[in-house]
Amino acid sequence: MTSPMTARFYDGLHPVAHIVSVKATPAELVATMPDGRVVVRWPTAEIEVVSDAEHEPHALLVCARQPGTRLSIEDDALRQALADLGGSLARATGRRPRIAPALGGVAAALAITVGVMAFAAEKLPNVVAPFVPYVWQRSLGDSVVTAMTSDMRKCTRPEGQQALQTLIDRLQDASSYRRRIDVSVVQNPIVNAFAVPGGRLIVFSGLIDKASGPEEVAGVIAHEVGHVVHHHSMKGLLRAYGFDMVLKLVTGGYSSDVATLGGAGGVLLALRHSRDAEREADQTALELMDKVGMRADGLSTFFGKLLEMQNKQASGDKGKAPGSGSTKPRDAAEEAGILSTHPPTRERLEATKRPPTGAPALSAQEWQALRAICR
Amino acid sequence: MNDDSASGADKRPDSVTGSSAPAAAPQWLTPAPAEPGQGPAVPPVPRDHGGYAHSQGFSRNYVPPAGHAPPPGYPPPAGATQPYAQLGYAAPGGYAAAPPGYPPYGAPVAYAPPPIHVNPPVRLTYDGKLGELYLVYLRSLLLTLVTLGVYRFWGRTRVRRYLWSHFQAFGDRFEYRGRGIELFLGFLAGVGFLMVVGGIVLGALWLFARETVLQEVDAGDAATWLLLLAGYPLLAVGRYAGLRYKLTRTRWRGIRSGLDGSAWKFGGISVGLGLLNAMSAQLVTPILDVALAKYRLKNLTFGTVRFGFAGQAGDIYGRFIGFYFLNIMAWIVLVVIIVMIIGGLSAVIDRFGGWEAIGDKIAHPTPLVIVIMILVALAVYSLIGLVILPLRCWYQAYLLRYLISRTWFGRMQFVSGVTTGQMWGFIVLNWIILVFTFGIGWPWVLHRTARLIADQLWIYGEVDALAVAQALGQGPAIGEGLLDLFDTGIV
Repeated sequence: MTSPMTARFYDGLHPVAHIVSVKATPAELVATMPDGRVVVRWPTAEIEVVSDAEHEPHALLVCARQPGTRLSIEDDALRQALADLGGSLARATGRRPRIAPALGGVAAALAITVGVMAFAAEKLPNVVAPFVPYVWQRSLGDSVVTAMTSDMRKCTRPEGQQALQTLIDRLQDASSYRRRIDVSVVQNPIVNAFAVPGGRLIVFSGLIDKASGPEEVAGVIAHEVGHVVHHHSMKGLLRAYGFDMVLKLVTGGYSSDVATLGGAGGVLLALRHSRDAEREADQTALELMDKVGMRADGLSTFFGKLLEMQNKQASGDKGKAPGSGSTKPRDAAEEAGILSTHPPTRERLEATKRPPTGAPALSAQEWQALRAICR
Repeated sequence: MNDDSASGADKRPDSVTGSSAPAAAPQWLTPAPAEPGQGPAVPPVPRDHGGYAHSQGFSRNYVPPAGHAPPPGYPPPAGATQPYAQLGYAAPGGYAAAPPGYPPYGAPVAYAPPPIHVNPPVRLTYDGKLGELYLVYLRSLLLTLVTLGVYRFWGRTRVRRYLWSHFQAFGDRFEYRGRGIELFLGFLAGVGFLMVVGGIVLGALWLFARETVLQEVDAGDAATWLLLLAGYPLLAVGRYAGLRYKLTRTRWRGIRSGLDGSAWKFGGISVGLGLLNAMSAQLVTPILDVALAKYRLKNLTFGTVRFGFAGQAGDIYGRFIGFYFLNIMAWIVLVVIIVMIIGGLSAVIDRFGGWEAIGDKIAHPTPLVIVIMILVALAVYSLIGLVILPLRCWYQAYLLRYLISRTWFGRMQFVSGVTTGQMWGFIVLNWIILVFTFGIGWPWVLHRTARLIADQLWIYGEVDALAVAQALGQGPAIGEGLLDLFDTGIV
């Protein structure tokens, strides 16, 4: 070193900056005030560089011999000279990354990572869902059942229960699902049935009361068994959770507005998957019923009935005769479009058309018992 | 003003650049000569009215306004020795004569002013570059994704290290010496704290109110309500604790900063006044704003010395009341505008077949419908941004100028000239950037904020170095636990 190089010395006692000239040898580092006073005399081996060159524009040197003091160095030549001494001082170097290439590399890696994670959040649930421990699925399903049916009366007449369970067992035997599927019937006039995680079905009594025959009930039950076979509820939960996590990670989770926008996207995505799942369950229901030789036209008659009921309701509600505005009958699921959990009912009706042949789903005696389940 | 160029080069006339800064030449008590055509570089002159009211202690370091004529003969020409006359003091009651060695009371005395040197006001310097900040941020984001979120504490530490170290005051850089592991442990401690508190409360409910309360509500609902009820106060507590952590990890000229006071007390003030404000239709907002700023600023320390603050809500009530009623009027105007637009559009809506047909189009969107929906949302947002938010910024900028002008540190005084327009750029534009980039614009927002601080915070006077000594201890061992649970900001 020919010319003395300067640094700023902080004594750690008062907020004063002293401009000092620094001389570094392999043995020691000496800093001298302009008046010739030596303020720093540190063994080179004991000096620690506390700054990091990636983020901080200056090098900060400290030494345990003189706690609290620090030398701040911005002079690139001096930093290089110190780094050349090696050891822990190597970190004093002031290398600046070339921004454009580094930024490009990081951005590309980031895009790939986000893509991979989004793909995983979309596809992984299909693989993972069957392997979620049955106990967890079961307790999750139980809590859903409790939350949903706690204020409804349970229908537990043993003959009706027996008839329904026999039907489900036959369908389950024909499927790839290897655990018993439970069913509980609750009193509720709404026409509906659900499959919850852990292989449990909930049937509203409205479905049984409004059905014109055992085939319709069997069709809907087979559809729900299809949901169970494909673990649809578990897949939906996992996908929602995974998407939420990716979104939180990418946006840093700090902006509620961003979270709202992204959350809306997540809901739309989940609804699309839900519509696909309904189609898959319809398909599986038909396959299972064909496999056990059951009469399988119930599902499409049920859809026809659903459409009919919607039209009656709509004309009753709005005082508008069906077909007065448009020749096409109303279909709630089709009107809701991308906001619907189910595909258009008309499309499902067409896809599930079957000839009225095959063994009846329930004997006349079983059907009577099932209709009486809530009495 | 706050331009967004990536270059960190500081072209301001008063910028302090490293070691090449001229040895701060003492100046006499006159304002620095303003260069013509340098709009924002002219320091905002403290005024005694209109929001720049002086705090106590200011007179010790008073810089007269530019148009203010100095007293005759002052400052004395360089090298002048002639003293000038000062009227003598009247005798205090009970004293017959002056103390021995002093001129008699009432006699004119020869008086030369003590050598008070006032430096021209200076600003902070920020020399960070947007590209570098993006590199730091995106790399942290990448590692955060790969580690499923665990890395974010280390990433946040890196961003802070970059920002802090690119700020300079009087030629010396700030230092951030926090560590990622401290934030991580703080996060774990916060989670543990919430679990213990929630467990105790739920356990107590189970023991004593099983028959009454828990019969009615679900345990999960109870936990959610508990979190909401406790969350609001704990958020304020966490903010204060997080501020303390950040300040204790901040050094300048080797001296550590800090924050005294109790986070719980701050939470109490925040919740108490917040409730009062909500019950009084937001009419005590200035009291809340000043009280929160006061508790923080009076407890803010650098080394062994505390900052001072002498603001009073009464000083800013006039502006607030103006804002309050103009705001109500603006909302009325906005509603009228929207009603008129919808009325004007009703013909168009009818042509498309009424609201039902439009609802159907929204449910089955074609690309054109999506574009139209985005445009409508943008129009509503820009109406709010143009009518409502400028008023809020008008008040916020005034509040910020007031709070800063009432703050001092030793003989140092702070003034901000932040304008309503800059506040709008800060609040509204930053929000727009964040929303439209899905969070990837965050470094840009940070960069803009850092430049605004560097542009609009003026420091009068200097640190009295010998009056300030190093702070004792190291501050809290772990950081920001509760804060991270509620507010996962990057800085």
